[in-house]
Amino acid sequence: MKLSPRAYEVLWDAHAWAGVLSSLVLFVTFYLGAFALFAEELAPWQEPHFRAPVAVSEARAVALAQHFAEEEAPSRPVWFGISLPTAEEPWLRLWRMADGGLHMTWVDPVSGRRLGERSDLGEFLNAMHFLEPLPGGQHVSGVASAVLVLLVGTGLLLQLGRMVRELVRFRPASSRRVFWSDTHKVIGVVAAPFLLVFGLTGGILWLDDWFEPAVVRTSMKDDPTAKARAVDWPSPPAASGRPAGAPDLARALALAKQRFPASAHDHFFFDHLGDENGSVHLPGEQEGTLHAFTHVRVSRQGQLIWEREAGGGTTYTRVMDPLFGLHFATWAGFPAKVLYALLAFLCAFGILAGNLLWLERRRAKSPNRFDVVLARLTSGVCAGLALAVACLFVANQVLPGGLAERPRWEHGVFLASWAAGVLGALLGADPALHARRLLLAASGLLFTVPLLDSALTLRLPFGSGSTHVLATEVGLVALALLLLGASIAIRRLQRAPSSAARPAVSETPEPLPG
Amino acid sequence: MAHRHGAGRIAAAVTGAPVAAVLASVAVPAVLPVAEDVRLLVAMLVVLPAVCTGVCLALLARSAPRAWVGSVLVAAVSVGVLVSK
Repeated sequence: MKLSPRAYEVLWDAHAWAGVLSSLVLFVTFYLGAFALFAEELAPWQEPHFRAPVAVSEARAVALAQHFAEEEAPSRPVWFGISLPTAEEPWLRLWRMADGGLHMTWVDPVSGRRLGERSDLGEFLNAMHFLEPLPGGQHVSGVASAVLVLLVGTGLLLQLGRMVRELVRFRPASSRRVFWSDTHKVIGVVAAPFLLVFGLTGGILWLDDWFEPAVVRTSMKDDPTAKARAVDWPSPPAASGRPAGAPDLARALALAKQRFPASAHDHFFFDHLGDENGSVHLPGEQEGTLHAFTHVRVSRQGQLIWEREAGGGTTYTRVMDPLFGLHFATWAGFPAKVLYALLAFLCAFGILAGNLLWLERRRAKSPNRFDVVLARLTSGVCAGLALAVACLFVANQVLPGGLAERPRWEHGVFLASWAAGVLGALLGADPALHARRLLLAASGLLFTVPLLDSALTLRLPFGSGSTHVLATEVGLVALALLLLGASIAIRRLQRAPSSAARPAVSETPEPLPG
Repeated sequence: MAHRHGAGRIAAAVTGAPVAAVLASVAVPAVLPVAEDVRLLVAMLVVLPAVCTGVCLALLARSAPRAWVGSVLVAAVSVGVLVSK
């Protein structure tokens, strides 16, 4: 089955325009998605103190958590959190909502000393993956995810009747236009299921605050408790207004372990701490399953007031939880996460190939101002992002550990270097040359990061003894090599004759618009 | 693109059709004889594919008026369902 020539032309244009207009956001999403997968595993890298083993028993850590909860209770925060020491983060972490954002400070579990804010490199890259730190960024990434669903749909329709042939057709020796066309198609088809899951779940995650209220109003009689039942997530008891102490955390943890012995419980999240109706929520995580998370909520009086099995108790949760599990790779062990990351980089490259295909097609005619700006933005945003990530890792090494508001300094370095990359592309002469320079700089910086870390921690590179650190070092060097290879490839492609000069191989047998 | 495909059809594809698809994604679950959590599930899973289908159908319409009439018709039926239920 094949599309009619008219339908092919219409869908080709829709695919091309939707892709070009959303490509840069989608590139950011997939490139940083590879880092977001390892947000927790990066903790011992971003904070060298975390490379030590957990130095206190669980009982001591819980007692310390109880102390901080009691200390926090008189201020009666609506929400407050404490994380227990784990293999990745052997300190206690205090979570506070303030100034419209989440602020995390650390506590030495041995001395009980507050250590202030530390690097949040992994969590920042995770947040940038969906543009959360940028104003309106979540909705922008939600819209881009919705467009991704359109791109997968139109892309697959365009491949009707030719998918098998084009899946294995790759002609690197042909013109640049054919090269980018083959690259885009092969990656698009191979990664289509992956892209579809990420488009759907990303759209639901970041657009549901626009859409869900309408569904609750029309399908659930505007009853918030009906929605809570559907998602198996009831609200905590409302505050009574009467002051009280913190819940008994040792008892709450014992109840959680008794109810879900296969789950790891490392967090206490308090609702209405300091109120008589205050409660503590203990999420638990199981490994190796799409239904990864369990939950219990314990009242201040020590009663189990809510429990949620892995996967939840409704049809909605049993379908949506695994979908989100696929998005967040909660089921995946480390090797599977590495595969996810490689697939994320591959998708980012496929998106980039789509833009380069567009530009090559336009180059054969006469590029207009839109094409010139697109070429510059593709260079600045994509290669600039690689540089920004490299600068972030360098800043993480060279900024003093106890620097006040350290996360903000690191975020500033990331955003400033990215902005410089984009500005350079807009003001510079040749987008390809600019991209090469940015990739070379990013590659060089990434190569130095493991050396900086080993020098600062007085050890040999690749010899820390920590698997987390070794994996990060290997990952950074691999990424540096990848970016170096990309820079060399750009140089070679620039030397190769363009499609205008070598029209010998047709891109597709059908006449194409554009 | 606008010159070849017509600005009217493109306008229907980027405004009318998505709005109609969202309205339909809200209206259909509201009258499904299933549990409330299944209604929510259907709405969440259907809305993005519905919007994408709406965009494609509007672009594939033979003319701009057809694209707009289709979008308005779907939106009107959806609103009617929501008002009458």
